[in-house]
Amino acid sequence: MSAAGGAATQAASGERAASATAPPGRRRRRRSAVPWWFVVPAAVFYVFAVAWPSLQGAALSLTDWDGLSQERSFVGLAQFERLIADSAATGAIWNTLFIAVGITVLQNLVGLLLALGVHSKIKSRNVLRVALFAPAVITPVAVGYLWQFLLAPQGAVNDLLGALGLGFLQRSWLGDGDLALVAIVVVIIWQFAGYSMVIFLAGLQGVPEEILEASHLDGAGAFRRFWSVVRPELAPALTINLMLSVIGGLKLFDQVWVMTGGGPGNATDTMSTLIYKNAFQFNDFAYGIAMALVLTAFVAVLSSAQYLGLRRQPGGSS
Amino acid sequence: MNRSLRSTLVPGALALALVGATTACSSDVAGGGAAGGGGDGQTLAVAATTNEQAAMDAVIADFEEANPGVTVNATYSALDQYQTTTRTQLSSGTAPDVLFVWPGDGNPVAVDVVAPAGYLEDLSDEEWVADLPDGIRPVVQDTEGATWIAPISFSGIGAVYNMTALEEVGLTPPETWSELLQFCADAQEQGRSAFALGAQTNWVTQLIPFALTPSLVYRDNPDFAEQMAAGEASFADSEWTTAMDKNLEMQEAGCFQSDPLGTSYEATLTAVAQGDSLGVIQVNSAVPGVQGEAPEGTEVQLLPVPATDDPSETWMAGAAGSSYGINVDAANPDLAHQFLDYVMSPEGTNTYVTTNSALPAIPNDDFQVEPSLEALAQYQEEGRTYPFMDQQWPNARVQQTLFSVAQQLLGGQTDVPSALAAMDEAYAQG
Amino acid sequence: MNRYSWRTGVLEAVMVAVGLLFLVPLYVLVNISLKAPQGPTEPLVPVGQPTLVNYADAWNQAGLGPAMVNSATVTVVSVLLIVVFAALAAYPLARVTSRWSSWLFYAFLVGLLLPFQLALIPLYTTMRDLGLLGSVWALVIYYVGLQMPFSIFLYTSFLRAVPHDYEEAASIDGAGPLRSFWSVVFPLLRPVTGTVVILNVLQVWNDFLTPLLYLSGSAQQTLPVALFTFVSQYVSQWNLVFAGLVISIAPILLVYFLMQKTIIKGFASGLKG
Repeated sequence: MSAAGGAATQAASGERAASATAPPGRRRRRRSAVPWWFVVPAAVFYVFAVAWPSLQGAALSLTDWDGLSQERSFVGLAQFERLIADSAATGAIWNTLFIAVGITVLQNLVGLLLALGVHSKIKSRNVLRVALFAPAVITPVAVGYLWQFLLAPQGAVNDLLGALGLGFLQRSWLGDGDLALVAIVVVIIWQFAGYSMVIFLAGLQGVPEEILEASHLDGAGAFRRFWSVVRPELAPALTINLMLSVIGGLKLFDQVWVMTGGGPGNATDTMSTLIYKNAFQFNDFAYGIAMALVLTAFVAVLSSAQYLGLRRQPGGSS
Repeated sequence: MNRSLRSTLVPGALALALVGATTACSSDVAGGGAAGGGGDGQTLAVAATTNEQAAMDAVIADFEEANPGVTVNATYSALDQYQTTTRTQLSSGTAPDVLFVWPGDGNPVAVDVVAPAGYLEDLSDEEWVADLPDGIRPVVQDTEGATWIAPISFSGIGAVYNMTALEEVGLTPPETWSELLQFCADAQEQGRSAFALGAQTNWVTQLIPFALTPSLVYRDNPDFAEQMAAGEASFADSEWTTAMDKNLEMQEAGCFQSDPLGTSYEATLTAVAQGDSLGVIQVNSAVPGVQGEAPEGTEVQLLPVPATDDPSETWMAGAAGSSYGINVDAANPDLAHQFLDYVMSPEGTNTYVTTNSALPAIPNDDFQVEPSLEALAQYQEEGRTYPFMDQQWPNARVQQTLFSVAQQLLGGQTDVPSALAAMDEAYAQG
Repeated sequence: MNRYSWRTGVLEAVMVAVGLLFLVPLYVLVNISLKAPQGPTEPLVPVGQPTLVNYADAWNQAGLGPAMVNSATVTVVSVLLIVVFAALAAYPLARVTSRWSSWLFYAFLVGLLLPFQLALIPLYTTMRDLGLLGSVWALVIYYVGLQMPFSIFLYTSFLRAVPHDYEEAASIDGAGPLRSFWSVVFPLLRPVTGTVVILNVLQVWNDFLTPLLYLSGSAQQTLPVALFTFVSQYVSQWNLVFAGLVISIAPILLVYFLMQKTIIKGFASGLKG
């Protein structure tokens, strides 16, 4: 599995090495040697299935199409004006940000700790690498069903807490709005921490185990030494991991839809669930598409800010 | 040379295979649908939600047997997915010949949404139209009296009781509101909950208001829906407040199991089947749901939910249930009509509703009411039912708002006046 | 330095405990799926008399067999095309340092940002016009386009870090562009190909809404669609539902376990490259 992460790590380090390599003289020669038409098949499929239909879809945001009728008329930016006044939409934006930030920070933290744990001499490391990654292969919708069952009032989570003598921690995990948001973040971490772990593991391959071992032992000095050695090695893996979790968190849909459907009330509506509701359930397709465009802008701004920010950091770029 | 030849050939062959397979497989679209183009008069495409699967399959088997050479291809999907695919198919002209359509309004694939957009065939000339009971007409016809969908079943909302469990604890189903509150207290004393409430599943939250409002609102004022449409009445200024208050009163009286907002619809069926809860306020389709999970020999009954202290004032929510329309672009319109005629015949209807644990929308003498639904059949006969409220709401937002505010009420995040005001606001969006 | 100290023992214990915690949900999943119908629902207590009857029921009633064949076909063909086309495209994107190639690269990356709702209906209409609805090839075309951005991102970034010497040697040799790509560049990409394959297989295999829409009305279904039609029909019969879930997860877990060795090999060469 580590191969996947290794390659990903290399991919990220390649990304930053991009423009730095190749002196000018070589460049010219290469331009003629590399056939540009190699991009054509990829571009054809991409334009056909993604770029062009997305543009067509985006154009619908300027209409009043309800998603069904055979008529639609041009309304300019009216749908976007509605958005500003829509308290459900602003609520969903905050929920989306909460989930995205929660996932980005915690999933990577847990993933890193797990990676440090299995990048050691422990005998179970190979089994653990498989076991911890297993949740990542489950269909997101199935994950939603499974956790809805586990988080029910008399479900396995409350049972387990009771059995461990932690009965005072038993909660209505999905019945309380604030708690349900946290529960969603926890479920995503369960599913994808192993995924982050694998990518970090690849980055850790360049770090001698002795340094990790030593840092387990002593105080802050050792930790600082450890960090100064490990951090540059991990930077490319971190770039990939952050990019994946920011985009994944902002666009999260399946698990939320199955677990809470955006409820109770609107407490766990994300931008994606609200887009879906408007487009397909409220007879308000164009408005849903307007929201989808706002979501696109969010993802674009946050992921590129994050990406550029990391590239500027020492260790993040060379 | 050999190598480079292979490297050119492999992607080329792949592309060719792709094109070849594409043309070969595109004829696989089953049955009709404008895009499928199976206008052979022998193949019919039908689509419905998975709730209808067993009943529809049973009717299709009979229909195919009676019409040799005819094939009916039915596609079923879960409710959310059905709404999404059907809307996309309708607007793209790829919908099946016969499709499940919700009666009334208030749903993304309801007849008042789909028919005005011009996607359904006018069924006004069908023979069965004359037999439609008055109570059902408003939700399958438009204001000019044209009929757009064929209602097969009559559904009702009531309390689905596990009678075996009731007997164990020595309780009987309540017939007045005071008895109901007492029933809740008695059940609690026995360590059970009177009613399971799966308020995590959003559509469940509407059922208690829907069960109470026929008695509280519509029995006294059958024209309430029209008055609302005319802007002369509102949720906030009506007995809807009483209905919502009573819903909360039930919560305070401990009628429900702990944490309704964390409990799903599925979990409530299990709770009633196992006797942890004595009943659940649900649609008649929950009857087979409970029976399917309960130990062999468990008796289940759908009974009215009292809303006042006079049993004679109790009405039930009862309405057109499973209904189907014909796609205006159907590939096989004649076969589609033939199929709907069969489904609407006493024979077809009885097979359908018996499988689905419902009543026929057009009563007939051959129908044997199953014991669990006798109360609903009696109320239907006496005219003491009123359609599900959402069938008469002007848009899908009102119902979605009800889902949200009902959950917020149970969670204590809003109060009845604001909740109903929010519904009025959604209603006004038209 | 290679000794197993008591600290390693503590770490081992902690990690095993964490691993078990991660596996609890999967344990519950399998446990319930082995429960006899109408048995008591105790998620954590091992089932008294495990039965495979749910698996047989789920398999037969949900039509999971043919659905699995469809899913496998779609996944294998899509991922194959994705790998070939993305790798091909990455070569000029990584090696040509002119402005158009970096703009093109960013144009591909924009695809990562777009929510699926935007393209859903326009693409459906196009597929209808091409007569591709109801065919698994509509899905293949969609996935190949959809997965291009991320795959190209991984390939291009990887290739930029690989020294140019190899290809130069091959091009001096006088080989044609496709040949030198196939015999020189593509093997270099092997380690990152492992990543591309895994991530794409997960995406394609698990997708739900697109196959639902494109195959609706046809006799063909993919595994997630068949599974959730089944789930919505047997709502509260968790034993049946969970047996179906286990069946749907099993093939992908199996592939993952089987690929483990190849991937680790590829990883070693990836470090050298």
